[in-house]
Amino acid sequence: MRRIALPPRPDFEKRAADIGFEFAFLDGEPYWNESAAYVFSLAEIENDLEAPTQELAALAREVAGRVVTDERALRRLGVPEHAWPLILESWRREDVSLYGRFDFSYDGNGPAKLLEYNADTPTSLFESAVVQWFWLQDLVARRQMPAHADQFNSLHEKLIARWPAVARGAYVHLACMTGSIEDRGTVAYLADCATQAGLDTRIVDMQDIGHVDGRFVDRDLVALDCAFKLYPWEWMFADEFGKSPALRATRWAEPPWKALLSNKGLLALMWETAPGHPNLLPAYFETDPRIGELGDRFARKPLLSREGANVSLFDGASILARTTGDYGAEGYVRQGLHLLPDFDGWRPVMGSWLVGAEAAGLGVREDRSLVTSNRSRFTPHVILD
Amino acid sequence: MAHPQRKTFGQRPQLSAAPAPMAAPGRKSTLVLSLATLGALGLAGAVYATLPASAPAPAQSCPRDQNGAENCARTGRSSFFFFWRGGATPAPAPQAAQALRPTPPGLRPAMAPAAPVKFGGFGASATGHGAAAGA
Repeated sequence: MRRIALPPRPDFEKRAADIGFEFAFLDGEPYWNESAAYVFSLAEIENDLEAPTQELAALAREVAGRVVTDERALRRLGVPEHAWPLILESWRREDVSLYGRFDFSYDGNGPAKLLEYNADTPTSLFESAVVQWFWLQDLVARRQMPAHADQFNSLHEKLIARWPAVARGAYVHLACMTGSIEDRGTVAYLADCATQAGLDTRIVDMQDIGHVDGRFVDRDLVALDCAFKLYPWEWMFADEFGKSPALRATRWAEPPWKALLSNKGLLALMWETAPGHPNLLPAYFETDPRIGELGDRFARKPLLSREGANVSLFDGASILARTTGDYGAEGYVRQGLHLLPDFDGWRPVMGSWLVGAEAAGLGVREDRSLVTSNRSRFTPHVILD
Repeated sequence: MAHPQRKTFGQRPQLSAAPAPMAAPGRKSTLVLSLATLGALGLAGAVYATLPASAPAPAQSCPRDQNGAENCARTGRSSFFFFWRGGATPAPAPQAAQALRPTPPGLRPAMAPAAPVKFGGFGASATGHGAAAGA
């Protein structure tokens, strides 16, 4: 694995517009970065990222199956009691998951280490599935990459193939906070995949979901039979509609049981289930007396947070990094400290995608900071060796 | 790269996806532009096109597994019949996007509730955390 410098495509803006990529810049800062790329060997991808992704997906599912009826574990995760029946029902009904993303620390030497599992509302999907693929196609066509250059990326095909199992023929509503251009772009892309799978779709704002007669409906009073929501379950549970019986009348993607896996308490539960797993870091709930085993080098993460908020990295008496935010009310986990690697001053995190239970691709984001945030730059990757 | 201790956790997962059909040079592929996304993005029209025979085929030969069989599941782009165009015009407000694509008659009838519909019961948490909900 290495990071190489590359000249950006001179016609990048046109190429981005051609594929509908509207958020190459976020808040005036470059988000998409093609002045560099991460290069992998096939063995690194297959052995160190793809295989662990499959394996940890199975492990996470095993944990979910155990936790879903474990009252103590549900309390440790901070899942509100009113949500337990919905989660259990969705698990027993085997509601289908569409996608998810593991974030790993990996530098090409030694096993990738799981930092977190974005199991509920992962973004950077369009960039991973489409933008970086067209980037590679362009570079190969322009002979800036060899013809055999490849990419760990079968996201698009797998998403299309997965949608019918999620929707089961139903009309699909896709809901998000449409004021966020990144969220809207992600949902528009998923709607496109669903359409290509033969489904009928409609994009709605979360605030345009209505409630009447025990059902959720859109502004045209069309009932939400199957709804994808780019909106975390913990927020849904906390919102005014979060206790409504109508939640049971819609088939959701991601399903309610994924709420158990998008919680950073999962890191502690996975470690408890498979202690010593080479792709896991030791992790404990902060209330667990065993946190002493971590010594004084650990990351402190809220059970529920997004985009690297409220994370602190401790190394002895030093605080290596601390991010702000308004998360943490539900509690924290502590995870053994494993810093992101340093490539020319950039700290990449490997976003390894799942579609259903299958490893499906890679998206790399990098930052100068030790904590990856929603402003970290997406940098494409290529398999050359 | 060997990680002997991984044997504790089972064998390497098999790639379960069937190999995708390889793109033969000069093959004609149907490209379908999805109407729903275009509508949602406020883009005009739809395109149904045919990839020229001279279009470049995906630039890979599939890796081979331990048994020497080709496995295209990971690289997989040979089935990339994908054409997504946008960005020419700004995305419309959600209501406008809906108006672009009314519910197909008979596909999913609207409800006719007796009681008034309540909206806005989702979204408050996002407002409290800065609006974007992705991670």
